[in-house]
Amino acid sequence: MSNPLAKYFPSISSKQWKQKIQYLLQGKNYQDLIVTDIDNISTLPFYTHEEGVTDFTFINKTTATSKPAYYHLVRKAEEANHSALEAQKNGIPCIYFALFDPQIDLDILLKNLTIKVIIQCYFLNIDFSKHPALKNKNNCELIFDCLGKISKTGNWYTSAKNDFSILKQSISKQHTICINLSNFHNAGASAVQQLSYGISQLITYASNNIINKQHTVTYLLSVNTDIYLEVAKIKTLRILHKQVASSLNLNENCTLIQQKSKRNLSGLLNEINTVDAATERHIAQLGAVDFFTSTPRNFSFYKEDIPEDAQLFNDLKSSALNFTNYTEGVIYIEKITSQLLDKSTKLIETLEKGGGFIEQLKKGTLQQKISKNEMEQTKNFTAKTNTDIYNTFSFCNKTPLSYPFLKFKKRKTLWQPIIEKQWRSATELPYWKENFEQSNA
Amino acid sequence: MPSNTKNNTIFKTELAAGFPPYTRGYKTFDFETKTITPNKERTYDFELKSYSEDAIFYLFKQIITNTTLNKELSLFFDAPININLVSATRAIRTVLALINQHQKKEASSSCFKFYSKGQEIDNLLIEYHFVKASQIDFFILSTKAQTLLKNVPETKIPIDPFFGNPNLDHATNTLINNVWEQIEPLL
Repeated sequence: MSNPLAKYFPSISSKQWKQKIQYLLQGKNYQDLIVTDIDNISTLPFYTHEEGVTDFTFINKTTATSKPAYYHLVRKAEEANHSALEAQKNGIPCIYFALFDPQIDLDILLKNLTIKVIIQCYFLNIDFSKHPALKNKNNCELIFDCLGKISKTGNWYTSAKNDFSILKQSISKQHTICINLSNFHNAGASAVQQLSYGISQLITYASNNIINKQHTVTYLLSVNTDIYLEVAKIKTLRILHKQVASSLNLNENCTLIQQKSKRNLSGLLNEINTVDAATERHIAQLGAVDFFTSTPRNFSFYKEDIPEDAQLFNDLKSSALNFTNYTEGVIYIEKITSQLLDKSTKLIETLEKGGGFIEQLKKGTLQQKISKNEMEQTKNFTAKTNTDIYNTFSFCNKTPLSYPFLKFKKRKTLWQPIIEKQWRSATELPYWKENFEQSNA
Repeated sequence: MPSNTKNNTIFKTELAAGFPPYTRGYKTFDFETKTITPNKERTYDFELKSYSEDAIFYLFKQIITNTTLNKELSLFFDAPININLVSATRAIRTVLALINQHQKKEASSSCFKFYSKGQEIDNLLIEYHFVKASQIDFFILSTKAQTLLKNVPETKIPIDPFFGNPNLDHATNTLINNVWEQIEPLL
């Protein structure tokens, strides 16, 4: 077949593109155009098909499989059930309950709910997973997180042996473990760190015979607003899980659930949080997560900013994409994925040689590395922050509900916890003190 | 000059490789979209209300009937900002280059200056991603939206960052091919 455009324009090879750029640089160094991030992931000025060769073949899920999930922090069963039923009525296909109290009345909580229900249990309790209310409720899935708890708080629920024993008895084909990458993200860990520390937990569970092939592991993750890096991160997570699961004879499928980033939260300006939340849900869908969740209502620090359920349902529904996944096959993202995979694999090997996830946590290695990363990220971000925003948007007339910045409570721990840190807190804290000091919780 | 036949098709892989180069954008590196405030006095050479083939064909029909083309043609996209903006800007740059070549001028003897307007504040960042990927020169935003944007971390991207997505490349190629088939006989 003839190609009419070939008559006008010759094809441009990668080498020719580079020569064109070098000519335009007028003597400046081409290497200066190559940008690297905190993980040393490089971005070139351009990509062609010549750069598109990757070492892996992986068919990602399409965006069509990403479903919205209404997030609800359960305090009272009736109230939670009411909100969940409203979500169901509004066409939201999944409810995500964050549950801290094993004494909650599950009959009331799950009443008339026919859509998928995921309950993230912030406790370990064998009886809970065998509750009669869960019998014949195939739409309801409990997820338990033991290693996430110890990394976030610095303590076991009771002890290593006990926790693993209860966990093993609590999970089944229906109820499973979750691995929380959000914790690391919120603490300022880089993409490679989040991936490696997450997969290292998978290896720990497998080596302690907690999970086997019947269990589908759930990963909780959060993203920043860098489309390309974050989509690549989500893709890399699936690839890594598949590779490691295959080698350990575990279930190669996994469930990915996106949660609102706490690291990105502004403690003063809800406008930033709304923009970020929409972007994060969009990115999560491009990464083909299984579920993307609504912003938790307790992420609002002012009375005026608490969204009504109807607003949350609208946000979820409007986030649902109606175009094909435009990031599939993108060379730039494939290259980032390849680099993330390579670096994460190496870090996982280093962690395992160092005794595994728990050992590295005990030694404080993970905490140190995350902290170093967090400080550098925050320093770079703070240096570029424009404080005009605090004059442009008004928060002074609002009613604070809670102190939006982290307060460190000294308590006895087995090792230093991995603590979440908002990267805007350094810039925002002075404004809070100036405007709300008397209301400080 | 190749004749206009129904069998003229553009090989996807060749175009997706950045051939012709105008699909990748005018700038090869260091591109920056500037944000500007709305201004009712601002005028444009052309406006596009949709990314459809018909709309783009009509745009070029106006361009080729204008015998005194400026070196820079300002084009305002008055349409929702989404991935179609990327394929549209690629196609529009390429067809203009083809017209220039056809008229025995340098392909870059005239080029576009693109303007686009932010639609929804909640989708500000998502729209900004598309605007940057399309090498839109000016992104029209309210002062508040501009201030918000300054407080989100900026990331460096390569030219034409979504290149490689088969749907996008196919959409681009189809647009170029179909618009050119209609424009070429008019030249």
